[in-house]
Amino acid sequence: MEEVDKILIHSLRQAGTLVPPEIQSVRDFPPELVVEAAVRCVRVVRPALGAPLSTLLPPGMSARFRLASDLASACQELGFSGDVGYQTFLYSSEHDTRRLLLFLVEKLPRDEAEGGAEPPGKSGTLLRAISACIRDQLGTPWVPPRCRTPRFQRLQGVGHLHPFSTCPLILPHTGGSPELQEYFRGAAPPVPAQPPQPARAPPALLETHTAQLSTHHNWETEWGSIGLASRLPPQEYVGRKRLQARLRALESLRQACPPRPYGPPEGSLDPAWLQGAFGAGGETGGALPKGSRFTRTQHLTHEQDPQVLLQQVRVAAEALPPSKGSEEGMGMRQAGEEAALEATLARLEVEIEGRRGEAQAAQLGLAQAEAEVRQGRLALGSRQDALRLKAQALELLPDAQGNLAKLQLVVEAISGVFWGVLMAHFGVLPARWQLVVEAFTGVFWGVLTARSGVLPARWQLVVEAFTGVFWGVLTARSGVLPARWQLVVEASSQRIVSLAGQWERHRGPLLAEYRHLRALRDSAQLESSRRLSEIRALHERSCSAADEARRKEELYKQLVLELEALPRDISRAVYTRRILEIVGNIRKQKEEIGKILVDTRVLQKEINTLVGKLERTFSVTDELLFKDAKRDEVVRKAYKYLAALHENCAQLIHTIEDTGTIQREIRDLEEQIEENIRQVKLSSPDYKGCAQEEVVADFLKRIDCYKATYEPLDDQLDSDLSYIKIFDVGVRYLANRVQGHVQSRTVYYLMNIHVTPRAIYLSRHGESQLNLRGRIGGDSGLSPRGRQYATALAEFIRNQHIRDLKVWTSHMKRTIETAEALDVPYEQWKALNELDAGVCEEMSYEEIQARYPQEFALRDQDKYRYRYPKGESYEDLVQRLEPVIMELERQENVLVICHQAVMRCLLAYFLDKSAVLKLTPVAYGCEVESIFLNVEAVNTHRERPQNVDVSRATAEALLTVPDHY
Amino acid sequence: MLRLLEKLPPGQALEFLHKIVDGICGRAYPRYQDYGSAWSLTEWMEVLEETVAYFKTAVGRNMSDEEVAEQVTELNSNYQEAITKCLKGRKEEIRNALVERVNAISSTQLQDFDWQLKLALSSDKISMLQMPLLNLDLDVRENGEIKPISIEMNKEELQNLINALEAANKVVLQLK
Repeated sequence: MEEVDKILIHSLRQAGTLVPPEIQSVRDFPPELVVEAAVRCVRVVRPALGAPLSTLLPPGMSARFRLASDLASACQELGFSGDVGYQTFLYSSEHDTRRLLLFLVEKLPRDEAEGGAEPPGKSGTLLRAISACIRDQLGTPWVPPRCRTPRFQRLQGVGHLHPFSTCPLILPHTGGSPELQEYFRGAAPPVPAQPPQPARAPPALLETHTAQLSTHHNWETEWGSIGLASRLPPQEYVGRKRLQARLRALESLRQACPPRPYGPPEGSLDPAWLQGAFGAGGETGGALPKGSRFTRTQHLTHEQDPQVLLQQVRVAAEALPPSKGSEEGMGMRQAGEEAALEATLARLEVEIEGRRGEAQAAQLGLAQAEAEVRQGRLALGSRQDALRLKAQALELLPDAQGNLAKLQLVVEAISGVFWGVLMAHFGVLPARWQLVVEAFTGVFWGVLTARSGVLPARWQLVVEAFTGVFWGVLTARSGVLPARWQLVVEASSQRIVSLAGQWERHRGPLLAEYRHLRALRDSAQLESSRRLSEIRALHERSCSAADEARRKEELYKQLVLELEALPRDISRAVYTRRILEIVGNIRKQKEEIGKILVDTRVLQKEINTLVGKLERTFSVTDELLFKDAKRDEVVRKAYKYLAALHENCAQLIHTIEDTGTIQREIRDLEEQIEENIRQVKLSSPDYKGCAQEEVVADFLKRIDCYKATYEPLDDQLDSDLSYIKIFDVGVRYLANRVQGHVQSRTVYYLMNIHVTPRAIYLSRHGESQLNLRGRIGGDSGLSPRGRQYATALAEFIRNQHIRDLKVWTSHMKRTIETAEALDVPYEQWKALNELDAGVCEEMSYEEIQARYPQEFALRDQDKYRYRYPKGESYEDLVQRLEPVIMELERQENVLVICHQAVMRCLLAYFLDKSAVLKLTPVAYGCEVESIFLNVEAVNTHRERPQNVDVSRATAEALLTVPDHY
Repeated sequence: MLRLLEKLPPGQALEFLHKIVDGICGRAYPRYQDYGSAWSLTEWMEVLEETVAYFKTAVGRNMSDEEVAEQVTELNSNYQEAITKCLKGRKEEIRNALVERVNAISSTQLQDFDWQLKLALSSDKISMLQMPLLNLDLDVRENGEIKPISIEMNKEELQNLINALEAANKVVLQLK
């Protein structure tokens, strides 16, 4: 506890309480200090709560009480769960105070811990700065611009605001040409100097960084998903993608633009065409030509709305505010103007119509012209073909002779081949051959004439001659050399066969090679896909590793911050040292205990030896002296003295021993007191929810307080007083001079009560026949529902497993029947009988009202004292029940089955009667537990009506009668 | 035609040229007050215009080194060297700037944007509104002049805008 107290005092000092250095533990705290410490803690924890409380304990008792109560409620508001009240502060017990102060100290804010909880790193710093700035701004009131001090000007003025506009920055980077590197090293301005205005530097930097970051991020995601799957190195992938994008852009451009005029296929773009492609040229010289498909369509749609325009103009004209001057002339002039304007508008409209028609005509003309151009182009193509043919023919012309010879040779070769093939296939059929050849010649001739168209006469001659020659050759050869032809054919076929063989020879290895290559390709593909998956895995791993690294770095930063934020004096070492100290203390104490034990033993031994020595010395001295005693007077005297001394010594020893016993007894008694407290006071409402030790400690303190005021009774001195003493919770009683009725009843009562744990069950009987009919009193049996109740009660009691249960009933049939169901022995008490209603027995309330309205009203006036004619009042019943109550106190577990009025008296308050009541008497009061057995019964309780006057009306008297048959 | 450049001390030429390039790339042009001792105002305008035009044509036409050098033969060799050095080093940057300008071929182009978050506490109809509103300022260049456009949006509208922009960004990424 010492250590705890030290920490506590240290914390309290930190919270601003001046704890004097001589105070080392909570035990020494005076109430003033407790109050001051608590108030200061509350002020730190929640200033709103602590502000109205004073740290100084006022001298006046009522003021003290008020302050302490306020403080207690403040503590409860802070969440202190323990028992706290004014007494905690004013009459403090060490334990309570410590608990309360510990709670408050724990609630004290820790600046360092708060600092550590905030996010670390640059972003954390930024966030902190932002929040501080906002807090600052929110904390200051708005001040009109004229009244602003420089500080307010900074906070609320607009002078320091700049538009968030950026500009491109150039940041040094590696790579690029050596000149660029030189530029970076030398002439490049630093980033803050780059923007035209210094205020634009932060936005520019921010934008540049964001752009870089997002580019990197996008590239990461894309490369991770699509890029890797393409199986290309990054540069190639980018190049291909760029190419594709360019192609797509070109495609869309091509679709959107008019066809390009024919010209040189590649090279510089025609500016006129470009302008056409991108819309009308801009009027402003500085800007590039603007306009897109969108603007063009917009333009058109806007132009086609003259009606709307007209309407708008009209509306505008009508809405013109009429001037206040000469209305008439003004009106006239306005009308004239209006008419003129309208005429102009109409003219304009007509013009627009005309222009539109013209535009349409022009468009039509354009289409026609385009068609014509297309036709012309087609015609041009055909003419060009013809021209090319002619040019070729012309080329042939100059060398006509040579060409003719060539032609002849060609013709001969053709005919030769032709002939050979024919002969080989068909054998010799001269007659038919002639026909064929003639036809061939005819065709040939036709072709020739058609192709050349030049010099037909000469050509005819040539061809005729050729035909003649051909014919001659044909006739000469025909049918002459069939054998030779055969030979040639055979040789050719053989050659073909050999060629096929050669081909086969070559084909085999080629095919094998082809297969091999294919297999190679497949394996390469497999390999590449494997690599791809590997690369992907690697990529993912690198990503996760980067994440991990980032997280760890953050964690590291946070930890470093926390470490820095930790106060030096609450380090681990301090705690370790304290623990070691405590352990050392314990060891020291143990050693001390051991030493004391040894000392005690030594002491005991010494005492024994001393006592023995004394005895021996006495006996020796006695013997020595006794011999001489008869002879010498002096010796006799000495002997007498010795005897006296001996006696005194014995007395002394006896006294010392007595003291020891008494001390032991005192200790025993103290233990006994503690035990008694434990038995009796634990259930006291003062100590609700407290631990046993606390109760004992607190009550001992209370006993100390009692000692200040009370005086213990002395058996001898106070024997003339009348009192009762109870020893050890009813083990022994001492009644002194008990006289008279009340005193002896009290003794009787006190001797009957006990605190052994037990339960008293009170139950009304089950619903009776007369209850059912709404009649009071009588001695009827149970109704079916009443019997059901009896079984339910029996079931319940059986389930409770009550030790030594005594069952009591009245002499009435309904209680006996209820108890019968329990099937256990029961005791009948006449004292438990229901209130005797005298002349009103077995009557319903209505009948009573009808027959004895006056009685009925009188009963309502004072139900407790009203006695039914020839019957009983509640007062009588209470008298009758006294022995029952006394007996109940004496008994342990009892079940009382009784009646409504009796139960009411037993409890002294009204409760739900169709239920079992479990009473657990404790030292202070009685715990009541209502158990409903789930069996309904009619209500027989009648509320006291408003009007209890004797002369009241029947309806009023019966207003509260419960329902019955 | 760049003869005027020779009026500048040769040591400052490279720096001056770099500043001109900075101006082309959207940063600050050199200031007359720094070079007032070398040129008169008309000369200054001329030299500025011509240098800019020279750089633009040299990069825009993608001229070879010889062609570039050909145009400045009339200059002193020191200045020639400075011009070639500057051009070689900054070519890529100038090209990017020119490409940017060509990209801005359509009628309007977003130049810059800024935003402010506001909390509307009440309106003319509702006394307790507590609705966050975003004020988006767009600096749009239209026909060569910058025009501010201010839009106030609530949460849903802002979300719509962001969605549209994200979709557009996706398309742009495919073309990148």
